[in-house]
Amino acid sequence: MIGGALLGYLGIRIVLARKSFASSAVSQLSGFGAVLSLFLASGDPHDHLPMAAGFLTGIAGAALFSLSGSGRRLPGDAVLAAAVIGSSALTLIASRLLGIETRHVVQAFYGDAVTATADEMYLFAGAAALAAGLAYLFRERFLLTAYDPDTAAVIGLPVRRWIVLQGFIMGGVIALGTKILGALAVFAFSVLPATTALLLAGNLRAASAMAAGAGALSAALGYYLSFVFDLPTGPSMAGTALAGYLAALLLRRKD
Amino acid sequence: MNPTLLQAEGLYLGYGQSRLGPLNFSLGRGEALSVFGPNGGGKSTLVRTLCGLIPPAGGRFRFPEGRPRTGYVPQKSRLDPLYPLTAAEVVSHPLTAVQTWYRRDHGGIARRTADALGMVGLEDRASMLFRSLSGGQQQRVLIARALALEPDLIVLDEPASGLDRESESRITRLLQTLTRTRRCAIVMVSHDQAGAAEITPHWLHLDWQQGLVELSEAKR
Repeated sequence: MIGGALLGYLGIRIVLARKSFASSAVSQLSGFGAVLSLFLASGDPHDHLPMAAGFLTGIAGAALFSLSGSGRRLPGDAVLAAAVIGSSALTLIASRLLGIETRHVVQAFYGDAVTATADEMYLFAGAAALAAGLAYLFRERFLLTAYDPDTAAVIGLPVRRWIVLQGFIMGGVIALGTKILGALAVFAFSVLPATTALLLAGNLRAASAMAAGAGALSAALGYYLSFVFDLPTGPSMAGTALAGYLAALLLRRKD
Repeated sequence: MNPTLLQAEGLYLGYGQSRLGPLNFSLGRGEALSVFGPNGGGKSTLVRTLCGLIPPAGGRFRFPEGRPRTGYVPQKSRLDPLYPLTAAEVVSHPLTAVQTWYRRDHGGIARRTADALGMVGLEDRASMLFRSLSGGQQQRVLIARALALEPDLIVLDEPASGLDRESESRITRLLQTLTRTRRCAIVMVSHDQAGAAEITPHWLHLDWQQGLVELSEAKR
């Protein structure tokens, strides 16, 4: 629920920045980072090195993605698509060269809410609290540098630094969330609650609160349904988030 | 004699090998300068150079009293319309962003936001979404945002662009009032020289294609 709520809240920024595939790109990049660490260090897929490498690769990628699309030649989503394609392909190639079965790589880095350990949960909760605190404290600076970077620069804000910091925060949450919840659930929570909220809420403040609530609710309901009907947890949570979005499409506000 | 707020000294605008200049002029508190010229003439480049968004290609701006607090009014189209922000939030965000979180004066920010919206006649539109306002109202919100910062210098990039005559007149009257009652300087980019003349007799004509820089007599 913590993950769903936080990703829902941060997802508002991701969707409004037109970088809805950022979460997928960061997850894939994190997976590639995990496999690359195995390739370079010949380590055990289940020790801490792949997770640390995946985390660092994820936040570095997120910081870079946050700056993409600000030039004139390429839109940001093309850069994200290239990252998804490249990371996925290189992960599979590296796994093959290492002689590691892909499912072991998936288990090492792409987690599941059911199999996450207590230590991983505590780590994620702590990171989530820190990320939520920073995102809330500096929300006006993050917003202004996103929707009006020129004015932000004129009043003296170092725009690129704030954009990169926001990228680090999102990347960290996504990379850790991928290990705890799984890539599909993280992708779903970072997009669908936000789109649901933006369809229903009258302003950004309400949308942010609503997205957090929708994320938490989707996580709880999806987890419950997966338990009751013996379904895979990540897809169940993604499914409940999707149901919320579809309902919002029917009930959407008119501006 | 108004104290000098800014001085352009041998200023060149531009990027790389393409330069326009030199510009030499000064602006004091309570004075206004309109900048006009054709599309691509260098007007927005001057504005962005003055606001520190891009460096000059040569020369400099000098600020005898230190860099002034600047209220920047971009063209309304530069704000991303996807963000569901209210008029009050658009006005208050820069105010909040410049204050550190543990010293934030929420009451003061709310008061300045309300005052600024009142100055532009939009106090009853504070809770409306910015993107649902008319073009003229959006431009007035952006002016309010600049005013809320209590600037020494207001820089406006084509504030009447795409507006009907009534909205344009409203903004002209507002700017006339600002020059009379406030001690801030105004630099305003405009397509319409006649309209700008209603606000100030001082003008700068830029035409990059022709390599033309022409300053009104009183400003030389």
